[in-house]
Amino acid sequence: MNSDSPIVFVVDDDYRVREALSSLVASIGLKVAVFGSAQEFLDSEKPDSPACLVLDLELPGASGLELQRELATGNGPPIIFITGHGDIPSSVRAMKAGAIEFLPKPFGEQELLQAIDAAIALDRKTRQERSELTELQKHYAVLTPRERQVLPFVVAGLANKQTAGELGTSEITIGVHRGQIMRKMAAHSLAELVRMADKLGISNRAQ
Amino acid sequence: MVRQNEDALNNPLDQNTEESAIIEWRSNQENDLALLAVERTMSADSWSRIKVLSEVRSYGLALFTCALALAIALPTDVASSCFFLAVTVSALYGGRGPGILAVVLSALALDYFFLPPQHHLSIEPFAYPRFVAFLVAAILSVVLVEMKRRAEESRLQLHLRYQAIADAAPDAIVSIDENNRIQLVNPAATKIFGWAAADLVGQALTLLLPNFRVAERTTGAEWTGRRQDGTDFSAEVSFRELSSGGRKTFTGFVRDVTDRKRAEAALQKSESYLAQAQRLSKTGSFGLNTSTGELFWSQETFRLVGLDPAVKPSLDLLFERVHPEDRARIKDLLDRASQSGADLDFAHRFLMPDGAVKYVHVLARAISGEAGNLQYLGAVMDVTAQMTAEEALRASELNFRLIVDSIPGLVCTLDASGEVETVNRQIQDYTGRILEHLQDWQLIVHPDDFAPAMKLWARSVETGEPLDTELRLRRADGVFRWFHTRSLPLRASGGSIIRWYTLLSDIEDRKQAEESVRASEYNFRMIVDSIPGMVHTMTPAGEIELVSQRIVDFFGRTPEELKDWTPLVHPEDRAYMTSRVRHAIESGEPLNVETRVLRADGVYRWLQCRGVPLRDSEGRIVRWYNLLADVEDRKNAEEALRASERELSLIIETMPALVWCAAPDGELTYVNQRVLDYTGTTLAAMAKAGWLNFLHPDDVAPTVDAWSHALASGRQHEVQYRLRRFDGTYRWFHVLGQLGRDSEGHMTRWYGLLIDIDERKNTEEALRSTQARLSRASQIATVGELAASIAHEVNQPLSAVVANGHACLRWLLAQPPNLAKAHEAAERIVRDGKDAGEVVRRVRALFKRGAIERIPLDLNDVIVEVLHLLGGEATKKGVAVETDLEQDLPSVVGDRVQLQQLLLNLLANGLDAMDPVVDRPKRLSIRSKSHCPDSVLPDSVLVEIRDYGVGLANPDRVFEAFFTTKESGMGMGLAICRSIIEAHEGRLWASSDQVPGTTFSFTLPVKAPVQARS
Repeated sequence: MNSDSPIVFVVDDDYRVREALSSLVASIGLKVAVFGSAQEFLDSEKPDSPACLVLDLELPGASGLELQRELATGNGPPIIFITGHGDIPSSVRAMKAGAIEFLPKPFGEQELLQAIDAAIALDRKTRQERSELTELQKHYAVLTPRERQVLPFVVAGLANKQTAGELGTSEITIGVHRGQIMRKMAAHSLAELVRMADKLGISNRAQ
Repeated sequence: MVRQNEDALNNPLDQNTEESAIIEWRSNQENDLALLAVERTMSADSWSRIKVLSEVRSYGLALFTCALALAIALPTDVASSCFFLAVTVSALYGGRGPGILAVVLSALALDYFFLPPQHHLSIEPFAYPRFVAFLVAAILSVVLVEMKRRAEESRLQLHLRYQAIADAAPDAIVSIDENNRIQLVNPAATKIFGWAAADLVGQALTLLLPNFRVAERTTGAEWTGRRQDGTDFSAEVSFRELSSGGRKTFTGFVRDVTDRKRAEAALQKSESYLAQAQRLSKTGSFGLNTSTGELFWSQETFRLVGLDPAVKPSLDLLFERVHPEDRARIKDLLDRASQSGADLDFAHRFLMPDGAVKYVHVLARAISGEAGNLQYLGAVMDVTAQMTAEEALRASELNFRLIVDSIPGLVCTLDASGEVETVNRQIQDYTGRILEHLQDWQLIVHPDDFAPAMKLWARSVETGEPLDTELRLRRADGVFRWFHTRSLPLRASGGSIIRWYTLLSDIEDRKQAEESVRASEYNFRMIVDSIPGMVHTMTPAGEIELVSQRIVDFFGRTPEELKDWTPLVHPEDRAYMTSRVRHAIESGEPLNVETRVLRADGVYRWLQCRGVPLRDSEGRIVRWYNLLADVEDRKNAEEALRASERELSLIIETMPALVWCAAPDGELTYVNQRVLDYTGTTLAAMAKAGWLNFLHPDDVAPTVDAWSHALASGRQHEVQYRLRRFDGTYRWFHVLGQLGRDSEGHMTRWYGLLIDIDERKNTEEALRSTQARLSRASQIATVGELAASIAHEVNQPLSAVVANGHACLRWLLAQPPNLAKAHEAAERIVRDGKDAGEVVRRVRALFKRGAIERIPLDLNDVIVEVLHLLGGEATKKGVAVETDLEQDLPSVVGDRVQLQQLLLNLLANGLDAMDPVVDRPKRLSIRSKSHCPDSVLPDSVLVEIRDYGVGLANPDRVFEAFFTTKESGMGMGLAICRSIIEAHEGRLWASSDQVPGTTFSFTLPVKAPVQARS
């Protein structure tokens, strides 16, 4: 399997549920890895591929919600909660913290598989965006300090002349900087550059 | 003055040579010493003042002489001669000016007084030839006299200069006449010789220079001078003869060279010292001018280079001698030094013409000059002997090193204080460390060996005793190996230790071999001693060799005493035993015989004696190995068993009760005749159909549960069920089963009784119903509170079932179907389904509407079951449940369901009590143990449930009905608990003594309580 094939992590302290979910997920042709506790999951090596986490709410040691909190700080996969209790406060907290789905046990096949599909699709998208952002940041990193200074003015739509006025330099210099920025950022148009800046979170300081 | 002039006239005018000056000076000197003294004291200023005065006097003289001449001439009429004389005198003593003045005055006087017209200055005096002749003669006289004066004056100047030289000369200057009489001395002479000048003049020269004879020309002659006080000194004497005016005179210099002589002597001495030192130290010195290449060599340098001192040394000559291999280097060095002026310090070799090689060390320092033109002064040392010695030493060191490095052991030397000095390569290879890192032995010696080894070593260093010990050293890869260490001290002639030589030899393999031998010996001994039978060996001839400790213990005799074993055999068996042993020894067949022997305590015991021979490769018996086993107990047991079996079967068959037996696995193996009579069947038929078939269908499940529980736990089996009689009617039986165990505790068989309780059962039923309803109501209340938790217990396996079901379907629908996976999923469905069923069953048991039972119960089982139901709740609340259940807890008699309810209530309370706890771990502990309070109260079982919750304000009131601390709660739970406990004749109480939390405790009597109240 290539590294891009999605993987489903299952964390549940009940081996019966683990086995059943493992088999079910495997039956639809997805990779699956099961863990008995949050710590086990945290300690494991995780492949670099789209993933989702089917997480039991009640776990010995760190609970599912605690694991969710922990993962939220990193680039954790989307989470589908499953629970045998299914009380409302927990589900609200889980969903608020960004869970994809909250399934009370026993749950139907369709509910789970749809949730998994949605989660993996989301993760794929997130990963894609993240890698694009990384790429953009790489491009941004090669800009000179002066070019970084010029970039907000360019994306703010200021003409070279205006920018030059703002920065106290000549129009030609700004033109050269602008060309360098476009080349280094691999932007084909100003519109594209604006989108990139937006993704990089560069504010319109020129305004 | 007059004499001087005369002398000047005597000498030619060109006398400006040194010789003539001296002569002139001498002639002046001898005539007018006093005048000279006066003049000498005159300074230049006073001299010029005198000159001015003499000018005035001169012109005065001219006036005076002219006046005198006029005075004489007027009466005598010898005017011309008088005036001529006046002019000459004026010129002579006054100089040119006064001379001219005298001429003019004379001419005017002649013209006025003596030429006509007299007393009148005539206009044409030249008409008188006499007057003209007078003028010419007078002017001529003035010019001549003036010339003479000039020459005179310049000679005087010269004279004064020499006079000054002579006065300033540090050497004595002496002038003598041909008779060696001293005529003249300079001031230095008076100082050197100590005589006054006046005393010396006229004395013989020998007064000053004894025995000195003046030769024509003496230059730098060494002589002995004598001072006035009679002391002698070294003098250098030079004399020169001067002939002047037919007289032979000598002028000489006498120089006091005492100091020079002394310096010369000292120099000579130091030079000879130096030469001697150079010769002895084989050190030559040299000087070198880098620009000219000029060389100066000392004697020793010549000798070193092997050249004749007569030869003029040069760099080319030097380089010829320099070893060809060093030549380029030395040239380069010298070139660079000549530029930089740096000190020279190098060694090189000379290749002598005879082929010998000399090592020299050259040191030089620039003492003056600039780059390119430097003066080097240096020393060159012959270090051949040193180099040769060093080379020999190096060779011997190398040799030593080779020896040490090739010793197949680790060798090191340590100084007297125990510091490591050198180590051989093996040590470095072995430890993977270099010498500098080997100072700290702690790094390489095994920690267990370090302290003792250091102690030994410290003692050796102190006492000088050789060290001989064994220790483990860390190899480079971290493995420790055993080494034998032996250190010997090297002592100086005085006996003090100079150095320690240490050899470390690897004895790991030997150690291991020793260890394994020891281990195998130990093992063998252990095996022999731990065999529960008794072991001994025998020689092929039947003599006892080795006996195990157990034999010794058994017989209470020493191995020696055991050699003669026949007296120990029971007299009745003795003959038989010896014959069997003899037979075995003779035939070589294994020995197997049972006999009675006398034990240490004097009792005869049955002993089984088995022996096998060990044979060598050729089949000869090497040794017998015999095993003795005490079979007394077995023999007795066999006998007893046989007897009891006979008796038991008689009892069982005849007793008026239904009796059954089953194998430990539950298989029915026996029923007595009465069972067969009651059911109207045979044992075979019953075994085949299964005894459950004879039970009332409603009772099958609980009976199976109880039975399987009993089988699993090995505890007493107690159940009640309805058994079908041969006529088809069911009657209630109280069934008791007990697992029989043999003396070792192995399960042998279940023994059981069926007691007909049908009558009793029917009467009890009605009595219990009331209590049952109450109890059930409270059960439902409690269980209802835990519904969510129980639902979780069901949901877990149920969700697994659902997921497995889906998975199974998918595996089946896959193309191609994955039957193996589907099968696995299906199996899990079955398993998890059963799990769910089990939970449901437990819950149902709680809800069950059934008669209150009084059956023996293991409270631990009840606790475990309840905890199973509460597990999910505890997890959810984050409570860690700890159990401390005493093994083999005595059974209590009671109603399982009610006790479950009691525990459920107390545990649920405990969990709830910890809801507010956030600052500490939530723990709930449950403990069971036997409890024997005192002789009055019956033995009981104590159960404590402790929570670490908020605690109780008034523990005594909590059991009152409608007392509650919870927001939602009727306050009935603990009241019901207390009523249950009281029904079981136990006690229930609460305490909040410990902080934090509460402990609920209850006891239940072990003994069966009196028959339940109605």
